[in-house]
Amino acid sequence: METAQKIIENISENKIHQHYISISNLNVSFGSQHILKNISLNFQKNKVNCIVGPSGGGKSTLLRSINRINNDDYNLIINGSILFNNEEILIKNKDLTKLRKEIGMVFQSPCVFPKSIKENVLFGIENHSKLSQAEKDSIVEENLKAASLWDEVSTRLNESAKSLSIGQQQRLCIARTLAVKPKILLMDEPTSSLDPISTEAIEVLMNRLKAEYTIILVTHNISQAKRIADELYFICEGELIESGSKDVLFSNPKKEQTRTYLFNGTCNC
Amino acid sequence: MSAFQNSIGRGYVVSSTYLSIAIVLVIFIVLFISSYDAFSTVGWKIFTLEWNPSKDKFGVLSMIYGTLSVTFIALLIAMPLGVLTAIFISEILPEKFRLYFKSAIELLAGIPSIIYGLIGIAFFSGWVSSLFELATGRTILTAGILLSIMVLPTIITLSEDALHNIPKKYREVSKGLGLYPFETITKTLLPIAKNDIIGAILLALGRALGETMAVMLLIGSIDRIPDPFYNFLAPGQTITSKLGREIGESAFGSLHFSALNAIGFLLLLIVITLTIITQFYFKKEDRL
Repeated sequence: METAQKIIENISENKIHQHYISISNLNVSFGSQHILKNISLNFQKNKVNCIVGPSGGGKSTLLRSINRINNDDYNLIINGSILFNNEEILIKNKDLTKLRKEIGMVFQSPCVFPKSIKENVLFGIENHSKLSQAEKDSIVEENLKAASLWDEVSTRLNESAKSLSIGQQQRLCIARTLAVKPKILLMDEPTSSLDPISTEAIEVLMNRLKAEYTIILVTHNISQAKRIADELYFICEGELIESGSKDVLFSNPKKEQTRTYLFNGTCNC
Repeated sequence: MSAFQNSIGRGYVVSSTYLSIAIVLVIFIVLFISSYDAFSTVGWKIFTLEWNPSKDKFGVLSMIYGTLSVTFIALLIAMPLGVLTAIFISEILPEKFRLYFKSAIELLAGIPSIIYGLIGIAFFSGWVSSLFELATGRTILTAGILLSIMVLPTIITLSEDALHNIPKKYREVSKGLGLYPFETITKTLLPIAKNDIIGAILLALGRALGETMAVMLLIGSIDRIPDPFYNFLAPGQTITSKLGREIGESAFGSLHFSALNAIGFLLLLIVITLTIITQFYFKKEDRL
């Protein structure tokens, strides 16, 4: 009896862990524009969850709903349910700052503040807790290392972040997000403005980070999805066409639209 | 576009630039030449208290004091009010109301200063005299308060532009890192807009130093430094109000006329010094 109880507990715990973020019947509109239609899906823990689809299909809107960064957008209407760790995100009086500390976000184009590299890394975490100088130094080092940037900038931490290349700036943004210690990383086409070498650096980084973080990546670059995704979600014109593990979707998609998109890059939805 | 047309365009732009620099220099030089008489005759005694043209005494200290104190009061009131209003319009007010608010405030800037002066005489001086039980409401404080209203639109409009021009992504990054809306304003937006806001305040400072008509009507026009010097409830005199009152009475070419030019020259020096200090102090390194 006791073992049965334990097994059930294990199963339910597993379930929570596997469906770290669980979205059901999500509808998002801006005014009369219906962007996301009845999306239901689950994102897996410690995986690179990759949302693909043509531009304007609602990928970013989906991502931006998860940490509710679009909360202040004018005439946004959002319905449905997003569960994070079995807690509803879409309730009205949700503590958004707490939510965003747990669900960090990296944006499309790198956006560093006109401050030094060090101050940029500390920017978020400094506002959440008082830190001693030693703590600050170790946080800076730890997160720059995590973002594979430490070796390039360790000698010039006090220089302006604007002096870095665009690829380095994007990794600095990742370090800044990691410093807040989120559980989930939302990445909105983080490599779309970068050169191939920086793109590769960030892809390697994502592969490494998924051991510790759950990554939800939006990309319109199918070959990138093929390289690094674990789970694939194909969204087109606001609808989830198909989802599943990358290997299944690339080898044997169930829907014709998925096949057309993944192999020809065109969309016939 | 031919090379010839291009050179005409270039010549036009370059000559316009040189022309405006030349105008500033000519003003400076002409003012200095016409005040030279006073400087050479009166000498360092220009920095004394007594102003009496019939005795050839031209002490300007009380006017410099009046100008600086009126400006100080005006900025003390207008700076927090203006910057906070700018924050409200740019960051808190829904976008669709923004332009209405801004145009209403910009309207304030278009009101002629004599109208402000009339309103000041009609209401402000009465309020000040009854509130503090004074014989007259025409004091340094009254002029300062009125001046603060006059420079408000400059501070609000330019600070609001500075805040509003910050790309949306900075707000999103800041929110995404878990900062509260208030922290986003103080930690992210204000530091980025800082230099432009200082620029706005500088422009307001220039307007406050140079404003004549409204101040002349309200300050009481008495050449003295009140006792104690921070007693802003006493009448005073600014450089501009002195010039406005006496330039018509002085004979062209007289020592009196030259002395009035000299205080104009001093005003110009004050404005230039303050501008240089501020620009030197706040370097433009934190720009986006």
